[in-house]
Amino acid sequence: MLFPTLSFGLFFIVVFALSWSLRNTDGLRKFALLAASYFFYGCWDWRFTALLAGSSSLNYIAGLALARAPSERARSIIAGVAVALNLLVLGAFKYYGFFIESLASLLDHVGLARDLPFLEVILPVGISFFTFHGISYVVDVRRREVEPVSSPLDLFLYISFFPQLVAGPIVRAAYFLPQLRQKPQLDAASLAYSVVLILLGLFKKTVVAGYLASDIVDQAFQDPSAYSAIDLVLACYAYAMQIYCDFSGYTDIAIGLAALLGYRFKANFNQPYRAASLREFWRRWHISLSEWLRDYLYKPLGGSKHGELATYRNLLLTMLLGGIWHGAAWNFVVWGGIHGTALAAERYFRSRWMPDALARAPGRVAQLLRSILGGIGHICGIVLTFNIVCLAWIFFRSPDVGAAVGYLTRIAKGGTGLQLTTPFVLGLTGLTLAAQFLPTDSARPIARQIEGLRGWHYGVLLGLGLAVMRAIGPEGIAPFIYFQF
Amino acid sequence: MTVPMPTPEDQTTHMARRFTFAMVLAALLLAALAPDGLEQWIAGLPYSPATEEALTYVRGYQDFAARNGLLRPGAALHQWMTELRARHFEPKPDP
Repeated sequence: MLFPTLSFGLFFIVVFALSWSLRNTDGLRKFALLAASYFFYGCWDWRFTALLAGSSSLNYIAGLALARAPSERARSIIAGVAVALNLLVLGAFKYYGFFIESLASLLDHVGLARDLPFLEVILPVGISFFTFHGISYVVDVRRREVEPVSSPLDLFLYISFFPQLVAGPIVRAAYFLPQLRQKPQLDAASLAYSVVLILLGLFKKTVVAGYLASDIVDQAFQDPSAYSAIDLVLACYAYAMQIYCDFSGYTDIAIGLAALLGYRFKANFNQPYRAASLREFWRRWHISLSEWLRDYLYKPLGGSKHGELATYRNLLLTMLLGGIWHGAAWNFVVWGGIHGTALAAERYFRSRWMPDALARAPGRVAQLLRSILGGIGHICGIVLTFNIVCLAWIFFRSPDVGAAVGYLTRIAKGGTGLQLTTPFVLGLTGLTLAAQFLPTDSARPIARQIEGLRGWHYGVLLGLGLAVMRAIGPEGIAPFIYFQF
Repeated sequence: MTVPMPTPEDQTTHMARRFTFAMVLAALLLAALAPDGLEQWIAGLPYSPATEEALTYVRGYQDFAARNGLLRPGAALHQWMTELRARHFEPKPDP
């Protein structure tokens, strides 16, 4: 059940009305939301609701055990076992096939070919997201940043809440669980903001991402050898915009839906392609994952506290693991490797690019020179960062590393034909890129304008908005890209 | 992009009613202006006499809407978008 479908719309009308009618009976309301979340998840494959329940039970029990642990050592062991079990489940479903395939290939290369037990494992939708929610809860309880919850309903709802269940954002236990203890509220400001976010998210997904995918990206990546370098470069930029509109569109809808049900999620995107460095990019792109990786991987590895070399190693490791989190394939490892290497290189050059003498020189002229150099550096930084990110996207989008190398080789060969580069695609890509430089959170002023609308105004706005998107959007709705992770 | 905190005075019940009505109205409006989507959705449901009957009603409504120009704005927007997409910088090569 995808967000931009009639099935989901009808489902949400029922859930919205039911949840607010049960507002004064806290337990019943949460139970209704939990049942709705399991129904939503079961629409993909009902068998995996047992996996979701099992994962939630494991983390609930771990939380209780942590609360009763007699010593710090016992707490560490409990948290370690719980995290390992979470990763084991993720590994079994997501990485088993990749591991066996890679091992078979390695053994074959060294002349020790063996028949290994290949299994066709179906990947449960959203497994990476709900596993990360579980790990976040256990580790935060271990660190005493969150009180272990006594009500299983609260924890089960935290892990399975349907707006964030299948593709995030990864909401921290410390942020969400306290909201479950308060009486939910809905006011004119959050209602208006939610409506704007949902319409904006639907437009980004169904119109912009849909057309970029169908008119250029899918064709270019399907058979790069059939197109010129100009087409392929534009397809790469178009993919950068497609994945942004697809994923941030999903996030906008998720944030809006959660707010309509009385819960708040933090922002997950903040105009990432205006970043002047990779470091800044990761503070603007999939923010909830970046923060998760920072707090549960980069910092425990030592972060930047043990010298330059250790910092580079930690950056590279974090991004490699972040890459493989996205998908069990070598192209995602390369994607993570490009980001990790670029982050490390950026860290090395950041403090060295401006001559020492100029950096320390007093006086107005030196200050002027510094600001001119800073301005040029900022613009160059945006261009360079965007192109490094786009280079990495080629590996992310390609089915395997070989296909990505083939894509890059085709670009290197040149050619000027314009089969896929049309005024429409160029304009759509350009406008989406230009929108990155609009004032931050432009949805809020629009929301303020519609705060005073009556019920039927909202009805007409939503109805007409959806009808227009249906009329101008492409046929059919492709699944969100991040659902596969 | 965090959704603002609610104001002290509790408007929740009023807002929830208002928005439930809004969503129902939006669904009706969408069904009226784009009945082909409704038809596809019903056709995708498991077959039963009820879905068959619903399909007959929707198709009947589609004919009515088409006769009375209700589908014209959507069709015009679709046509405009199709023409926009069809423009090329250079003639498209023969396949």
